[in-house]
Amino acid sequence: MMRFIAKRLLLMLPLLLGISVVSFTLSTLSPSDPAEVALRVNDITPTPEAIEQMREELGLNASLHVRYFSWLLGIFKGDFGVSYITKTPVLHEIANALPTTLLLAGITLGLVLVWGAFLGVVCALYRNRFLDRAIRSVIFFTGAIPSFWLALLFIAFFSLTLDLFPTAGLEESSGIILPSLTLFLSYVATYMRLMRSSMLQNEHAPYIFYAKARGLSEARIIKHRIINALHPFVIALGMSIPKLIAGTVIIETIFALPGVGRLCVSAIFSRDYPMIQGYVFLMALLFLLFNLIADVSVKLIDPRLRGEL
Amino acid sequence: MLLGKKECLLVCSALILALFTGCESKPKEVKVAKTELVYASTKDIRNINPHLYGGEMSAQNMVFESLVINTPEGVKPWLAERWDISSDGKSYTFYLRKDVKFNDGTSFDATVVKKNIDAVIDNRPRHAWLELVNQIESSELVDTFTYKLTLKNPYYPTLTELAMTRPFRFISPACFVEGSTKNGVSCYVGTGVWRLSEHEKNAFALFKKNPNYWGEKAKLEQIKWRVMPDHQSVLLALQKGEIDLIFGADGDMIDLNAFSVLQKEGKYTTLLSQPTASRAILLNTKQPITGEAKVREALQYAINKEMIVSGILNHSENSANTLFAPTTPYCDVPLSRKLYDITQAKAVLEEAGWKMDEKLGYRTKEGKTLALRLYFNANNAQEKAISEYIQSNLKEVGVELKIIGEEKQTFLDRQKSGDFDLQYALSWGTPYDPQSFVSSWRMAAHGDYQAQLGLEKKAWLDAKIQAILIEPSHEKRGKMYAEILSYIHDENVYIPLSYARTKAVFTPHLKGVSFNPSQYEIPFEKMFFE
Repeated sequence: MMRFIAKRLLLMLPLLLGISVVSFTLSTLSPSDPAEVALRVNDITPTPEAIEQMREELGLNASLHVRYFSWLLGIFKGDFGVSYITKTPVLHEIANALPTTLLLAGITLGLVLVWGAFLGVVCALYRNRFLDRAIRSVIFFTGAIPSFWLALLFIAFFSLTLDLFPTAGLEESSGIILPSLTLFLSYVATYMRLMRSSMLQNEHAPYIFYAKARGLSEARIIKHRIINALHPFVIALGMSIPKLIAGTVIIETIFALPGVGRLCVSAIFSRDYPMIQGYVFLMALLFLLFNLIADVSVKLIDPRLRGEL
Repeated sequence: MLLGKKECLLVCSALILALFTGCESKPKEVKVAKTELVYASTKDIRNINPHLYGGEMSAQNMVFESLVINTPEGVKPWLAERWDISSDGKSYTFYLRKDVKFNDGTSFDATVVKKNIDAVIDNRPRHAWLELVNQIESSELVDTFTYKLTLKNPYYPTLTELAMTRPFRFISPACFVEGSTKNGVSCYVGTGVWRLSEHEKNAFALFKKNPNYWGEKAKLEQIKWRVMPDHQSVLLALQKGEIDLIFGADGDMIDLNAFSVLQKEGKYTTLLSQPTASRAILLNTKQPITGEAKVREALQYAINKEMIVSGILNHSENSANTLFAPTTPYCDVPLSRKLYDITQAKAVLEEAGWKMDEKLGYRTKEGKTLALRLYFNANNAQEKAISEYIQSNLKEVGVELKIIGEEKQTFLDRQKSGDFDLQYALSWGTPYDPQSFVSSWRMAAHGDYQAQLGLEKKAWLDAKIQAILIEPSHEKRGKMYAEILSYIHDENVYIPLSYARTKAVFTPHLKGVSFNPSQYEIPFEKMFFE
């Protein structure tokens, strides 16, 4: 197992290098002059003198490759540069915003994991019967509603009408429930369906036939079906973690949560290149790591795959 | 071992229930007289260093004060009790109050004033947009409570610009980093009515009343500045009573539709300020079609401003016939009114040789269609609606208008490049209008500069603006302003639409809500709960 992990980690290096080149050069292709933007976002009229001073301050007078290598060198030291706008280290900004996003993503993931798997199993066991159809209808309906609208409906109903939760913010711990629930509903349909179809695929697998022939109890057969059906579920869910961390901007905006998604979008709108570059690089790293974690988990669950290590 | 169906159901239900345990209803607090005001803003206060531009101006205004202040009646004393102006208009001597202390206990005196103003001058390129910074020749300490500012020229808006929210505000010298403020400050200590006591980035900021304030103390104990980026969430929070006040200009905090709905509902108090800024369409004189004076004139007659004001702005603003409202200093100039007149618009276009091509539905000249592009900020719903209405207006006179919504930075890049026929424009409002706004017409980074480049007398215009700013005689300045405003009006560089106002929506228990002359400031100190 260790060899497998080490091999995969080594393979990640050229990938990360490629990502670093892309994330650095893509942001420099934008027609906006970062020095000018850094002035404008702070409501300063970009006079030629101010632009020149800002270019000097941001080190933009150096050539592209010099700036890239100095940025790359910084990354190895854990320094992703300083935000053009706030003048604070990028890593510090991301680290500040990360706990909120991780909390949101963690709760959502827990809910998706438990309910996605559970509902998928229930639907598979009651295939095409009333319960299956009812669960699928409800889940697909809520999943089809755009998350921003669902969020506003939830605030209107749970916060305004029932007065159960605050409308936004995290000053009360219960403030995390509505955003998690909204995110959960937009994700769960996919995973429930994945689990259901995976369970159904396993229904007539030879090992089930053999288990029945051996006279195993229904509960034990279902247990084996669930374990086997979990492979695609776990892989897909593993890949969803970085997606959840990177892409919860709408929910963060509506529920006023100071998370990473909002940080990134405001960086994009204000052309805060060091922030965008740092964000893209870190998210790419997360995708690669979680891909690896998902692969390792599947191998741990399924003894048949361990031979491939 | 595999859980049975029942156990499985139980585990899952428990998980959901565990989440909901946080929402058990708390015992309702008995509200006596609220002393905390919760204000919702779409933006965080960010870095409120008063000598830089990274923070929210209304937050900077809460903590830091200036020597003088702008009021509707003109400039009044503040941290300076009085001032003298030398006969040549170049030297200003300020006599400071002796009872002012910073929140950290540091006394406010002339040394502090000099240090702060020197810190601003030390970062001159950053403040070059403000002509006063360029005009300062020397900054002197006369005695402990007397300070003298000497200028290169008798720059007339000196006091108005000293009173602006930034950069001439005072921060405790203890917060300076390496003797300056241009590279940041170590704390935010001012002399203001409020002191910043807590700040959680992108979530909230807490301002507490300054108990040792030299002037009239705030009526409330604290202001909570909640960051809520989504407009709909802000409205829902207001309905739930989680926030008490929404305050802002030009749709940045509340859009006009929501404002008029709340106004009609009557559950909340709504207030509109006096006109603060001008909303207009900028016509680019450098572009081939809008470079034709007759086309620009025709466009003036083709747009139905009254309908924009009633249909889109819900009568919350007045329609504008001149770029600046006549109430703006020096702007009460008799200028011709160019009212909506479709026949006149068509006649002017005919005269200019733009003939209607019935088949095409638009006018053409020498095989070229009368097609124009109007750019606006895509994130502003109001600008989009206005642009769409203008598009339908122009179609009636045979002008094809392509409207293009752009993300803010792209929109601003376009301003600088001058690559537009028409562009949505908003002036800076009082106290920046007219002097600072007009001064910015000379800077290449502004759309105004680009749009005026095709004017025959652009060089004269720029020189005239420079001359106005240093003209000591009030009467002469008035005449000079009349000259430039008439020229711009006659050349139809702007199509004035309306005069924007600041809007406030708040709970009925909140009293004392008013407006400062600057749309960027919120007078929290006057507010209290009944």
